[in-house]
Amino acid sequence: MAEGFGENVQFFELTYLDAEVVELDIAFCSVAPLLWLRAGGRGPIIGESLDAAGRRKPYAWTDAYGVLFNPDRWRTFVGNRRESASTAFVVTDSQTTFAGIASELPGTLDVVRLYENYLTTFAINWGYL
Amino acid sequence: MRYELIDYQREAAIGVVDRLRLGRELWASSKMPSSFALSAITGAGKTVIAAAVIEALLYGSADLGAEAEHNATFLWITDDPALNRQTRNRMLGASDLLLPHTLMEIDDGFLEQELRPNRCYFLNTQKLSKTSRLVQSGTNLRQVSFWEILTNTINGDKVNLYLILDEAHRGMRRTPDRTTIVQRLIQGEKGSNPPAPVVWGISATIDRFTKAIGEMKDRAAYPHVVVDIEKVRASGLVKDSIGLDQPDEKGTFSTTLLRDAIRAAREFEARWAAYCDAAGEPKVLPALVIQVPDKSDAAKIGEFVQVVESEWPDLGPNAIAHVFGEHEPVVLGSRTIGWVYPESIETERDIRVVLAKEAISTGWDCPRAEVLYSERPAKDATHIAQVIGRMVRQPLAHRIATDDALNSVTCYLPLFDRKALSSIKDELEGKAAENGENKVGPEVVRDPKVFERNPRIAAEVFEFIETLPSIPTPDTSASPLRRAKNLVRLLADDVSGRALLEDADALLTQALNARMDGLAAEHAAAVAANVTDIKTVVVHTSKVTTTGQDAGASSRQIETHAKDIDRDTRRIIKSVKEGVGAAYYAHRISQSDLVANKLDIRVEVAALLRVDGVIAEIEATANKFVQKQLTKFAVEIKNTTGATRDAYRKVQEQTPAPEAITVELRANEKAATKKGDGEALPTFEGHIYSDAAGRFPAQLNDWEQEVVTTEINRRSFVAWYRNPQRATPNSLRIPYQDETSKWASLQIDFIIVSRRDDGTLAASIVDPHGDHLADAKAKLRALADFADNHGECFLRIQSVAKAADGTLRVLDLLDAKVRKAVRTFEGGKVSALYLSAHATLYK
Repeated sequence: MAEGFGENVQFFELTYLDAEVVELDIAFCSVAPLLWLRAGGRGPIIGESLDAAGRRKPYAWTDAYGVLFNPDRWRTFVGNRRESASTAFVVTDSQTTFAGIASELPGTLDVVRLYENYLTTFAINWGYL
Repeated sequence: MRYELIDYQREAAIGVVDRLRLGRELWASSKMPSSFALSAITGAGKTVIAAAVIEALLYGSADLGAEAEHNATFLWITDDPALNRQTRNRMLGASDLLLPHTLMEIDDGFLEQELRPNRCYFLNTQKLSKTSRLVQSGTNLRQVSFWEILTNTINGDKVNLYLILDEAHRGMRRTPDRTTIVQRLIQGEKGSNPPAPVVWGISATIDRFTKAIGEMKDRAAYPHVVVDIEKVRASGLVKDSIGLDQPDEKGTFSTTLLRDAIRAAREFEARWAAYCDAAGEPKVLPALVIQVPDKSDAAKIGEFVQVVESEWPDLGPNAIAHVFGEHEPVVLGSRTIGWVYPESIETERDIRVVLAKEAISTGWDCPRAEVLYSERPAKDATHIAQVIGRMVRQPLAHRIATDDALNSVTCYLPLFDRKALSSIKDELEGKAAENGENKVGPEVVRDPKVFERNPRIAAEVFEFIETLPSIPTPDTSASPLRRAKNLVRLLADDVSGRALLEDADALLTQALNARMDGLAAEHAAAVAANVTDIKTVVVHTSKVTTTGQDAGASSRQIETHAKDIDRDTRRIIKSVKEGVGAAYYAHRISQSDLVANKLDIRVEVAALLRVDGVIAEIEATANKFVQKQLTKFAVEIKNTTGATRDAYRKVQEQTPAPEAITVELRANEKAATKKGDGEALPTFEGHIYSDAAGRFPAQLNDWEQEVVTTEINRRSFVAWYRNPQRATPNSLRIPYQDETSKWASLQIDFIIVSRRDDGTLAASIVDPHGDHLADAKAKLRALADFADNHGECFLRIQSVAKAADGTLRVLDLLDAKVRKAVRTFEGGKVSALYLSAHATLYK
């Protein structure tokens, strides 16, 4: 105990978000910590991930999870997956695009469609528990 | 869904969603219960279909045209907890929306008062037997019994309950009081539970389902959803053929046939290794299943293992396992054979040889088991058929175009004589059991061999055949938007830095958004009208005096409640397939200034999408985009291999109207060498696939044989091709609509290649199809249409029939007069056409 804890701590502000803003993919930074949590809360949080020119990177992976922002780069996203990752988030409105990419990832990986599924699983006030 | 549904799966899912909706409405309006069944052969993907339906009802799906119900709940019933667990796991794997807490197993610990909405509960009938704890009530442990839970759920108003009765599994062991329990679930019981509002049965055959649920009273029956076996076959999800091998003479088998089986398994291994390496696909390690006699002791098993080890060196210590009823390991001198869960064989890749006794448990599903050796007697035909049923899926879930041997499974049955062998063939073809429950997709063939491309036929002939048009059966549920999204994903595939079209998805989105911008301008007035319509509600008021006299009516417009606008516009935007509506909305937001009201924009987008014809225009834009890319990259696409080729092919075939592609020949072809009764088939020369001597076996009737012989003997003859009779990519396919206007596929019999005097190659279609067969008229018309559109590719398009006098008569559809006669023919039997002046003598 005298040496302190081996763990880290992260503080977040819990607040309400307009579902629409999330859905329009203009509030990624606000949901980023929740994605990180869903993927096990390990390692760094994937934020907006801009490149040097200020453009959004097509995708990002950490040891724990990955986010594909640009479906046109799906193959490199799939190819650069880290073995230790447990979750992949794919930003697309298309069911077909999502299924096509998800089927190329191992079945053991939790693959989540943003923002459709995100909203479905995090939404409150649906009139049921 | 984590998988893209195959067209027939989507069609079935839509059919099920429709019936569930109808059933729900019927129950809501008149408390009339209803039922229907979904039937499909093994390997068709019933669990995937079910997962898609459940997902669509719980969360909505533009793909299936379903809106979320928000209070739907499913109760999934089988006879086997292990099976339920397996189904649940498969659903979790297939769906990205169904999460563990949505798919719940009901057990003794289930203590709620009623079922909750938005769930799929799994329950096995044993848990409802009289002695089970789940049906007790008023005890310390349990306040309400399951029957009360069910009653509360059905009588309450919080939940739309759908009962799913999963009967799809072969050899399912039935519990003694099962019928009573199932009957009680469905029909209810006086003083206890009411009938289940909507019952959805899942079964291998409709017959089996009706038998399983018994007679139903006072229940509306919707037409069953039956998956067309031909479509499952065409999809390549199941193997094309099952080869039955059997010794020629009785008594000579001893270990010879087992050695053959082991060699066959090793050949599969080598072929898979070659294919997977070349195509860059996940490695498939085939397994051999050995069914041993019931009373096999360690000594007998030792004999089997000894043969295996001598024929198959370097098998690892865990390579041989068993799935006997007794779970103890079998200890032999050389190794210990451990017991494994049958379910785990598919994933435990160390296991290469599986020893089994009678039927393997129902949950077992093992596509990589490709060779069966069974030392069970002929009276066990049913058990053997059940095991074969577990082996029929394609390990990579698609057909292998470059090596036809990998599209088959092989069975060695030493204790079967010729007659017994046809009994197992009957089982597998669904003719043995009354309800045809052991029917499988693959064709059952005797002593098949692999035939390579005929060395005596020049490569140019194969290339020539591959230029011939073939028209896949249109997919009535095809969506141009889905097709476009599939194509852009493949085009943007930058696997080795050679994407055919970088940013394909972005380009498609741009094209669609630009078109919608244009449509918004074109239809400005209609959009404005729709905006008003969405934002306001017309309220009609009739005034009546206190004495009951009509004091006139008035109507006024009031503003729609903001919450309703929000919901309605969202629903409209979401209903456009593939998120194309949502993407356009995002585009409009990105074009607007920051202070603009998002809701106003959303209303405008929804208003546009509601204008008549706009969706069709968007789809036409997507279609144009697809056509352009398919044409531009035609050669590159043709050069792709393996899974990528298969994916492109699906895109090409995903069309609601007939669209021609070309025949794609396989590298080799596996074909039967014996008839069903074990007699050797006659062989012919000049076929494009052949043995080393240039001969190919074919089962032909007498006049088909006459046709082939006549063609082979023509001076100009170069080669012939027995066009595969299944609607697969290596077949020349011609779609036609049957009398119910459902699309079906005609596979003509023979393609004949000949050489013109100038040295160029020419193709002819010769189709001795017979005038007596069903759909003969529709097929002739299809041939006529095909000749209209693609006649220039052929020298002859001939339909041949045998007249009553024994002569062969031919109609050549390349003749416009013949086509006219075919189209105007009014009679029922087309025989008259072959006797008319339009037909000539075939010679």
